[in-house]
Amino acid sequence: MEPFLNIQHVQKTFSLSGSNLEVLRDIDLDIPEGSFYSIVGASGCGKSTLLRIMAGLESATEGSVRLRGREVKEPTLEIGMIFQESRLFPWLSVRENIRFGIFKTSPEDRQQIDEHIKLVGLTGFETALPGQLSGGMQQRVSIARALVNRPDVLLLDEPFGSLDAFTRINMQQEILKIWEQEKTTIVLVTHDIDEAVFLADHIVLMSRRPGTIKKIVKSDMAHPRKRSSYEYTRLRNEIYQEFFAEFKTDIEYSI
Amino acid sequence: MNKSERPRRNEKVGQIIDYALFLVAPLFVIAVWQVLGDGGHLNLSILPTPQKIMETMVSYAKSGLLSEHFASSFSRVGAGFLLGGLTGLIFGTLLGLSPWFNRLSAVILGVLRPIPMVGLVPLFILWFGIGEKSKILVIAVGALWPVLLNTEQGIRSTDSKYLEVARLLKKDRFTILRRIIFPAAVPELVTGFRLGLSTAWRGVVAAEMIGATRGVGYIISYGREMSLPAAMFLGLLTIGVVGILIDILLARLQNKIIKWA
Repeated sequence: MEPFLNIQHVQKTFSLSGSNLEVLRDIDLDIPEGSFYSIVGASGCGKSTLLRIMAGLESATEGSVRLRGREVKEPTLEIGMIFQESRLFPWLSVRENIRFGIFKTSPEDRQQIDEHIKLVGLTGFETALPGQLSGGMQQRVSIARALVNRPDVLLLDEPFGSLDAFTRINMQQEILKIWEQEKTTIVLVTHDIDEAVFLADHIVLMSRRPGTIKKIVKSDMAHPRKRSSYEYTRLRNEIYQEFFAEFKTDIEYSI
Repeated sequence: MNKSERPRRNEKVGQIIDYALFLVAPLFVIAVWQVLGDGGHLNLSILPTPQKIMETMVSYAKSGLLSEHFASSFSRVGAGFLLGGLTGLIFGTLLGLSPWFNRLSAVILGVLRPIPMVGLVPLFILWFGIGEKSKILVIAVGALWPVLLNTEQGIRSTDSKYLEVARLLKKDRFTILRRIIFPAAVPELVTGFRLGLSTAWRGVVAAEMIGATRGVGYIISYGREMSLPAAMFLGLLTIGVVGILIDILLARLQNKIIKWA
C-alpha cells in the first residue's frame, strides 16, 4: 500500500553569513492516515523546521515529503497548520477569520462555518473581534480556520505553548475531541513531554544539532488517558530518561 | 449623596478642569496682548490688538467675504488633497510591494522630496499659468508625500506571519492585497491621510500666493499689500484654527476606523 504521509531522508541546512548550519539530518518518518504523532525535542532541535517543511512553507535541502505519493513542495489545502500564535486577522470577526480559511467562498459557506464554530465551542462569539477574546479562544478560532477546508493532515507547531496551564489542558482535550470526530491525521510539535504523552499515539524524540530522530515511542494507551495511571507515568518516565541520558553524556563529554 | 456618586462627580469636575486648562494659556496671551495694545506699548500698524482682529473678522463675516474665501480655499484643498492623496496611495503601494520599483525610484523620490511646496510655485506658474490648476497642484504635492511615505511603510510592514497563513490557505495575490496587506496597513494609511490633509491645508497659503483673488491665503497677501495687518492676522489665525479642527476631527475618525487596535 502507498504510504500516507512519508518523510524521506530529509536534511536541512541553513546558511548563516557564510557558514552552514545543519538543522536536520536524515529524517525518515512514515505517518499512517488517522494517526496522532507528536514530535518532542528541546528548543533548537529543528522540530519546527521539520514541521514547516512538511507544510511546504520551507523546502528540504535534501530528501522529500510526500502525501499519498505526491511530493509536497509548497503549501497545499490538504495540509493545514496551526502556530503558537493564533495569527488571526485582528480586523476580521471570528466568523470572517474562519471564512478566510475557505479556499473558494460560496453562499453555502455559512453552514460550514457554523459547524466549525460549534466544533471549537465558540457559538455566540461569531461577531467578536480577536482582540476581544482570550488566548485560548483565539487559538480555537485558528483551529477552526485551519479545519474549515477539511484538510487530511493538521500540523500543530507548539499550539498551546503560550497558554496558561488550565487553558492548555482544556485545549488538549479539545484537540483530542476534534481528532476523534474529524479523523484528521495530526502531527504535533511540542517541547512539553507531558502533552505528547497525553495526546499522541506515536512520540518522536529528536536530538539536537543536527536534529535527528532518536527514537519513536509507540503508545497504545486508550483515550481518555489518565495522567495518574501507571502506564502513563511509565511512558513519561521512559521519555524523560531518553532526554536525561543525552544530557548526562553531554556533560561528561565537556569535562 | 451616596458613596458611588461621589467619585463620579469628582471625575466630572476633573474633566472640566482638564478642558479649562487647555484654554488658560491662550486666554492669558490674548489678554496680555490686548492690555499692551491698549496701553500704547505696541506698534499697532504692524501688530493690531485682538479686538481689532476680531472686528475685522466680524466685518468679513458680515459681508459674506469670509465664507467666500473659505469656500474657495476648501475646494482647492479638497481637490489637491484628493489628487495628491490618490497619487501617494498608488505610488506608496507600489513602493511597498516591489523592492524593484523601490530601487528604481529611490533617487528620483529622494531628490524631489526635500523641495518645499513654496519652491514649486514659480515653476507651476510657468507650466500651468496662474489659474486653478497650478494652485491645486501645489496643494497636491504637499498632500502627496505624507500619504506616499506612510502608505509605503504600512504596506511594507505587513506581518510576514499573516502572509504565511495566506500561503497555507492558497490565497491569490489579489486576495492577499485586499484582505491582508491593505487592512494591516490601515493605521499607517490613516496617519498618512491625516498628515496629508493638514499639509494640504497648510499649503493653501503657498498656493494662493499665485495670483489668487479669493481664498484664506489671499486674505494674507491682500493684508500685506493694503497694509491691513488685522487682515493678515485674520488669515493666519483662521488657517491655524481650521487646521487644529481638522486634526481633532481626523484623530476622532481614526479611532473609529481602527476599532481593532
